[in-house]
Amino acid sequence: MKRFLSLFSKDSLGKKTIIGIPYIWFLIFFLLPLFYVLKISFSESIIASPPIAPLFEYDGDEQTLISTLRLSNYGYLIEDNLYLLAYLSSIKIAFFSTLITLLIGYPMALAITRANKRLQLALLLLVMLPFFTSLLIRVYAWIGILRTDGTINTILMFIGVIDEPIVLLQTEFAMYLGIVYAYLPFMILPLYAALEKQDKSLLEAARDLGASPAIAFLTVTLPASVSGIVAGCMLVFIPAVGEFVIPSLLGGESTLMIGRVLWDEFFANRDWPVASAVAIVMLAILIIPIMLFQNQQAKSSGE
Amino acid sequence: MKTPQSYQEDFISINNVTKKYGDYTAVDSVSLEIGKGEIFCLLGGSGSGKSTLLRMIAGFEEITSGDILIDSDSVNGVPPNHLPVNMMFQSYALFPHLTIEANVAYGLKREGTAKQEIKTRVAEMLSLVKLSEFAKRKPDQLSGGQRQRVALARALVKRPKVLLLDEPLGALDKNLREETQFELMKIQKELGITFIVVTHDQEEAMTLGDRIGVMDRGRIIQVGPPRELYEQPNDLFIANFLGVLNHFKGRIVSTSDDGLCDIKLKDIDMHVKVSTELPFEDDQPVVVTVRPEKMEIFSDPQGKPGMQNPFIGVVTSIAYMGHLTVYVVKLEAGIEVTITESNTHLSAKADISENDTVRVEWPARSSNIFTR
Repeated sequence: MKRFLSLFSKDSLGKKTIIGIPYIWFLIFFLLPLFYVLKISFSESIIASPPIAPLFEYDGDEQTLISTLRLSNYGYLIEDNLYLLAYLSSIKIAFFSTLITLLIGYPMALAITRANKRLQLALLLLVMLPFFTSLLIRVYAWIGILRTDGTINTILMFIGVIDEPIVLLQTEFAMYLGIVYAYLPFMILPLYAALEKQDKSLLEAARDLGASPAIAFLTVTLPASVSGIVAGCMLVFIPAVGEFVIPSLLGGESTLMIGRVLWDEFFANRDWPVASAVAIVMLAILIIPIMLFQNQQAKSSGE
Repeated sequence: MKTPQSYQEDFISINNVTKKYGDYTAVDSVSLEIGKGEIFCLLGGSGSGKSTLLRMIAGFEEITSGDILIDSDSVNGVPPNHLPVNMMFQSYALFPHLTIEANVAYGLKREGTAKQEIKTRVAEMLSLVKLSEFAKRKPDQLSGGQRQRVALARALVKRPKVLLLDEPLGALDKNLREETQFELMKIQKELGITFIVVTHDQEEAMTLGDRIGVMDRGRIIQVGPPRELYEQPNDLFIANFLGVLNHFKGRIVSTSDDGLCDIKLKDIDMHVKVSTELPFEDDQPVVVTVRPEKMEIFSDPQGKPGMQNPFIGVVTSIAYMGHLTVYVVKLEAGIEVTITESNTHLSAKADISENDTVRVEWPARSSNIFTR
């Protein structure tokens, strides 16, 4: 806020323009839509286009402005425990996805930093390569691999490990697989950045002072890369909570995720106000802990 | 000036050690004995193998052939965490996520030392390096000189038999370097721990080292106290490496019975005289070297020469540096020499200016002679 206010200070016009552009961008493409969603969440669903009642109505007879600000949509979220369950289930799925991504991504990032410079470049390219294809196509590819007559089942049956196909698709396993697969690069890249800038002699210093390789990793490499771990986990956890495509294509009917609830409210029920309320609550759930965390970080480093 | 001390001579014994990376030989059959409580400097340019040798002593590099013994125990195949040596890294390698106190305590914690003892020893160490009030800070909140002292404290707190220092003053600016050099020597004498210092800076090696080993292309060329290396180098490379030199190429004309050689310089009409104890044959090609500070400059070209090598020349440039002045003089025979004079009193030799004709002299025993 302080920085925003500094826009109105006595800086030169050129400087103001340069600094102002990102703020204008932020205002138009983030704050305005968000405000619009917030507005809809206080409205009421009607049969019209768009299917929402206006928040303010001008009554010509009484010559007054009637405001119809409703909190009923938020109340509805509390009444029906479907929403609470969906939130909890989403957070659980996002949490375990993040954990699995971290456990797979950390050794991969570490291995990339330990490779020689040319190999490093090739490996990083491989990590980013999936982005050259649309996520949807890659998820459909997984369907092909996981189907009962798909690649995995065919191979397993051919070599005689199983007699009849095992159900992989539409399971929790397939959903976790899809999320971990899709978000792994977002974990690896910040971890790589944090590990790469670590002075290689830190590890030697730890060894020199009497640490075994395992202890040196646990007491030096790992804690010194916390910034990368936090960044990677946020980049995976936040979008995973609202993930819609992967659970609906790979996950079973029973997987309850908030992204799916949101979709149903918007398109199946055409209830925009409730859907907007769902989105606003989700945003609050995600943003408040992050802000608290950052505040804590700023305090501890400012000492 | 340092006085020679008696050391337990074979405290660290490096026997015919070679390190190869594929076809490249980084360290080539090095043998050295380093005494207990000594500061030994490994001096050399980049690629001379000095750091590789240090890293082998620390256990970070495998020895291709040969053996290194510390207090009679071989370091061969022993991982670095089981060696009685500690290292101070060039980058200091302080753990960024730990406080200064925790950095120093790290090594003791790994040993499983009792909590109370860790506390007292860390406090002792921090007061030795004068950082007690910074105990709770993180490394990035300290200056370069303070970080260097944390690295020293962290490496010394385990009371290693040997402390290895990789370019210990390399990251400090010039004023801080001189101050830190003496601080380092004081701490070393106080604790009596053997120091092996790797450096590329000959001044640093000469100030710090009780003895210096000069390395080039993987080999040790000469080992000795600083004065011996500076004044009696056994190799032209070492003479050049340790400071500025005036070179005279020529051939021996004659040698008198008391060892005074007369040398005719190559291509120019000039003779220099050198006294030497080494036997030289007549007509042998040699290089004579004279350090700039061994030459003296006089403003009066017609004065009576007091030394064996008097020459007349013209001053081509003067650089006044405060504690000394550097003169470049073109001698009558056409050769240029560099002379430094200490400014021992105010306006010493102030009457000499550029383009003046001057007399340059040096005694026959102040030069060295090398065959070529």
